[in-house]
Amino acid sequence: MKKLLFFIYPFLLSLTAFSQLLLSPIKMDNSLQEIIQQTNKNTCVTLPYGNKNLLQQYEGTWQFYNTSKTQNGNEKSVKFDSLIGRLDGNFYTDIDNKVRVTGNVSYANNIFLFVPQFRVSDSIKRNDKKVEVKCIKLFSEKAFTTYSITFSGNEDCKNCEFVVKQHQNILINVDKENRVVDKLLIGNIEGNDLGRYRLYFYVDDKKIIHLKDFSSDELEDRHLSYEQYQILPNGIFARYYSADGVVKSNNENGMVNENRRDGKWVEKKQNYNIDLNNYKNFKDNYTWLEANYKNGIPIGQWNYYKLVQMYDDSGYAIVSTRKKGELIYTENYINGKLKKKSFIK
Amino acid sequence: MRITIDHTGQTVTLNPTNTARPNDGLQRITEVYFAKKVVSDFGRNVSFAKIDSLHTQQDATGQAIAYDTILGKTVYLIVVTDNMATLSVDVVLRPSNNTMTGNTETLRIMKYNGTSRTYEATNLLRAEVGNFDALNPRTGTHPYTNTNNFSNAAIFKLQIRPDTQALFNTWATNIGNATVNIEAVVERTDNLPCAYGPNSTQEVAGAEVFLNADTTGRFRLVNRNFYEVLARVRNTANGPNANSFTDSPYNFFGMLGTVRKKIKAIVNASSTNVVYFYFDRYDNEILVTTRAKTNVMGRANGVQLGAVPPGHTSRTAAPPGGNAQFNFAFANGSIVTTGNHRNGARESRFPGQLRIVQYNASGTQIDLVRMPDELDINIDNNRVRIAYEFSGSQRRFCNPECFAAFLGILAEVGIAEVTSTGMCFGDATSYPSLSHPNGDSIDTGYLANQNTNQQKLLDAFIGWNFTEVIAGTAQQRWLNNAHRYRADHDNHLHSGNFDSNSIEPLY
Repeated sequence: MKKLLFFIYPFLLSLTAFSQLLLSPIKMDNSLQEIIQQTNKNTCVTLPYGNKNLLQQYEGTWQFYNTSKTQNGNEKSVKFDSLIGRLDGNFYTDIDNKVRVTGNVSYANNIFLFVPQFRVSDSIKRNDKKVEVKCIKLFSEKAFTTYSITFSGNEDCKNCEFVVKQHQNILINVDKENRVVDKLLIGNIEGNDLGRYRLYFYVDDKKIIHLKDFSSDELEDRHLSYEQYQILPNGIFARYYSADGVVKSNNENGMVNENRRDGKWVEKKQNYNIDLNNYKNFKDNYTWLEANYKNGIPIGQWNYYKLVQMYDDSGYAIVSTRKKGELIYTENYINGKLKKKSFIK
Repeated sequence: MRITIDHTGQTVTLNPTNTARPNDGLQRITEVYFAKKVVSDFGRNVSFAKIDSLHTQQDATGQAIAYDTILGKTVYLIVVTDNMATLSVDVVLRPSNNTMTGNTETLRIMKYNGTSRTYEATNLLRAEVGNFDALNPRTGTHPYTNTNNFSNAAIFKLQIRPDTQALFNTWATNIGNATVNIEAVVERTDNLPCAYGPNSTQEVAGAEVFLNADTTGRFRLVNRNFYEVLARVRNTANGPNANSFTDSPYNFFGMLGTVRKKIKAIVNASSTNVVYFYFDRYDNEILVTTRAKTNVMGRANGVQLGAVPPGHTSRTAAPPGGNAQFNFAFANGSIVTTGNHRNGARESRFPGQLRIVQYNASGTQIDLVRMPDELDINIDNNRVRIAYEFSGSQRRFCNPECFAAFLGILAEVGIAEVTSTGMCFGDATSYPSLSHPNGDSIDTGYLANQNTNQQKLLDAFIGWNFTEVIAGTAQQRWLNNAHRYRADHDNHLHSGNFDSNSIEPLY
């Protein structure tokens, strides 16, 4: 089954939680091209794009209720609620921006745009319904133009009380031949009122893309990660680091040169290309990735191992228990281009 | 043997030598009945609907009511006369058996004084024929233009209850689930002879007993918990003043700060029934629904678990229809609920897994009522509309006070489309929700394409003393006045932390 998936989506791989590198430029279908052409008639948005409150310092977790239901949240919670509310407001205001060109596209014909994070309904998968996308132009470079595309969806709800809804914002870089060079998911709100995952963006005036994601349930909010991206001259999204040197965190470690990854990198993150339906003995979709870069460009062999970790009583992964498990698959890159992907397991 | 009422309100045997002779134009007490006030013509016309065993009531859903009044409830007593204008009549009420007070002596109960606008304890009820002070609102005089219809009647506004909580509790306990018939003994205040009954042809001295036979009707008193929910009047339907209100003129409740209370609770431990009354802007009484009250262990907010811990003492199926499937009970009082709600793939706790929630016992017993599965009360073509339905949720138990407030809110907004997404289960748990045990907050789905009504609904929750109203940050971010805005309320409006101080107590 996993190999079949690979054949269906041969052009995808997961670099990190957010970025999706396309193996080679993808031709858009006519309907998407038409939307892009219409969008080109409009002016670009003025940078910065997004809400600057994203750059505020968010602490690990904060409780909605302090000690009991009768308390209307605590000070920290109120502060972060307010900030998140502004990020949320910006997210939806941007989607509703009347400058965006709206059109309907086929999911199947533009699958590179949507997978793997978009949780579509069966009717869209079957192409009974189209996906409504809204497009706006961010900026143009010599080799490409960057657009933001937003779309929404509801997961099919069979006997569930709380429907999962999703809103996404994806950046695509389109070259002069109307091919999509790369894409980056920069906004994603999915879930329901019992639990939500949220990814917010801020593109500063130097075109550095700041991404932070959060998860929440009814009682607690949690800041998950902060990543920055840059766009390389060839239109590829690459991680950006504000300082050179060794980076070491719970989730990644490696060397940075000239604000780009360089040399060996280890990443311990959720990998959304791992479909847990195909790995019944996996408790989660975390992988331990050993990657190689040169000037921010993937090179050589990348090894994806299962990340083995233990959980505490509340279901949280215990970072100190993380270790490398069995090898799941490998990828081989030459100068940023994926040449081979091999499943071991 | 005839009786008479003495100046203390007691009934005593009449001296037979006082018997008078009839004359022309008989002074007559034709009829004595208990009633509820019915106001029509936009508050201008008043009438009185008889209530007794021959004139039974129904609730607003058409359900028959097997009693006529409740201990502590406001009721009118009408004494209809002939040829007695400006004369005064005396009435005493007494139970027909010993159940309530241990005897059948005159009851000392609460009578509305239309001058002081307060209820006063009295044995002897006295009113002048053609005087309408009993209809006086909180300030000023009554607004009714048709009182000529009642110029031959003496009108009493009463609450059949004693003047202390302790004695109330005694009466309530004594009544239990029984029904006590209340009889009225009536006489001219001047004790002169009077004819009794519509067909009487002779004035006789002494008092007459009314409502003391099955054939003429019994006035049946029971004990229940009940809530009286009083409308407030929106000053303008829309626009900037749409969220400003005037109190009902017949709201005699006290103030909470600068705002008049709108709900009165009459509660006691001797009944497990809770009756909900709504009084519209004209003071018309509507019996909305009667609910069974349960008392269960309260619950703390839920905690997600990765698995059901070992050692449960029982496993029972959850009510069908929702996401909850099984409840596992543990010796320490906690309940662990499993179900088919699957956490999101990127939730921080147990992502992608079927949710398992542990609800620990809070240590405090709480009251719950099971809400009707739906309500749609529509009186006079939407003049009063109290309507809601549930989403797929089976969490249909609610704190009794919160439900009273919810009825007031629904009536105030007056639309058919309100959907509740649920409160709690009968055991006070709330799977899959972690934060809604105990049924003390009310969730409603957002109204589709009704922004004005949605704003009114939010404002109504606040106006009816929910102090933690949380709206979403997505499509409903335009909503004003919520206490908080959170992204996990994008699909429902949360109204919690109901302020119990906003409930008017009986004593």
